[in-house]
Amino acid sequence: MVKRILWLILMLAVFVQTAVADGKSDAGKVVRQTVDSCLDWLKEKDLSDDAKYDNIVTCITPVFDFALMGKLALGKKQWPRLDEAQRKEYTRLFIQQLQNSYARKIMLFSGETIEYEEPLQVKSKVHVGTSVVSTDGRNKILYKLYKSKTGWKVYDVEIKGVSIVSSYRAQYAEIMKTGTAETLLNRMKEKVNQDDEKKE
Amino acid sequence: MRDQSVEDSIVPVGTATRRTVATRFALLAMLLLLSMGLGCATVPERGCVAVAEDSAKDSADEDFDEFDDFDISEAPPPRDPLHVYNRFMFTCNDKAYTWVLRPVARVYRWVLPEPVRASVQKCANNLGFPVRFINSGLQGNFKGAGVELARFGINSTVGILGLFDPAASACDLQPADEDFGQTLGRYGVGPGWPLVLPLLGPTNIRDAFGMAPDYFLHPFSYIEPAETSLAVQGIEKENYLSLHMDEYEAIKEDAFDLYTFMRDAYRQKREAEIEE
Repeated sequence: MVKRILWLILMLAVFVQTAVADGKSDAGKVVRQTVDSCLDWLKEKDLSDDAKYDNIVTCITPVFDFALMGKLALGKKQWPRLDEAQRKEYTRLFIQQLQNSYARKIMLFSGETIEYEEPLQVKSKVHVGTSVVSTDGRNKILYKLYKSKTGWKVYDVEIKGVSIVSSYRAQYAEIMKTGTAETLLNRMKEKVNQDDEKKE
Repeated sequence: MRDQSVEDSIVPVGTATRRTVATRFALLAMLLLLSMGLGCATVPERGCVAVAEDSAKDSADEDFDEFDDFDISEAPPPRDPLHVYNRFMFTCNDKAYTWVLRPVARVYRWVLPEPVRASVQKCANNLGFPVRFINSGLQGNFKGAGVELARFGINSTVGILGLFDPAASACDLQPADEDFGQTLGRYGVGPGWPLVLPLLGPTNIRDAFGMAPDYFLHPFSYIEPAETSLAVQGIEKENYLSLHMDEYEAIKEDAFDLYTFMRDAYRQKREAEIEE
């Protein structure tokens, strides 16, 4: 009996180890494929900016866990201050805001090359480092992924050490310091409307 | 912490029989393995009390542990006693950028082709060698200092006075952006209050002090007369802007509260740089 259990443990250990090892390269592949296909869309000369934007959003949506990013951005202290309906509204606005922002950033891209580093296992998460090499230097962009039920998903992006989630959190905290959940949602609505007007 | 509690809960099951002892051992070992291998680090280092409070308030939200599972620090916003002055200076800088610096950079970009501007930037970066070399050394990063020395040697000769960067492109020797603010940070000096300087933008008390030694290490500071020195530094900044047009605009469009965003981004960037 004991022997059998020991065997089980051994098998489990092997399984866990390989699962982790595979995870690292899987996560790396996910990032590489996504970034590459975004860049391919940008290179399409016949497409309008709007069409490029839509294609980019479609290609990042399955890989980014926007809802989780929104939750993390609001943070442990603020999240309970929103009721169920407000949370839904918050998540919807956050996703729209983030997609607008990502698309704007990637539109700035012009002929830089991307270098991929070896993915790094950090506890149960994987960090995939990339460098954007431009004419006068290089900028680091780090993608942080976790294993969800449906595969590896991005939950934060760090640009030159600045985390997107943390940056949103700092601003939300500033608003929530004096305001309520409604104040925050109104500010977010304003922002999304502004972006939509600009696009038209 | 989690392992502990599970261990406690299975204690009553483990009576004297050999079989249960083995099962217990197996369970424990499996848990250990899982926590090591998969690193299910849901164990919160601090803030346990806060979690308890919050989940009491909001028991419906069953996946509340999620927050502890992701490595995004939930530090309170930094103390910013100078915020009235800071916001004022930040707005001034923003106006100076929008009405003067940016239009000048646009004209500059129109006049000079990109490869020329890129080379000017590389040349200026190459001259910043003493700052990076000395600070790498002061931080005990002798490898980094060596890389800087090699880069300076290669780029000043093969790279024709730094106009090109063969050290990075051919030898994969990447520059380390070190300055005295980071050196102080390395030795445990905290950032101090956030501070916005005229034209130089968001910084903090420590890094503002750090600018003095770096000033004396930079060759541009020794150009005579002082007006020429300032002009050279101004051109370098405009040149940099011309290569990074619209980046500030993209950030500006994203932010609710641009001042808070820039203050926090600066803090995060510096923390990452010091850690490197």
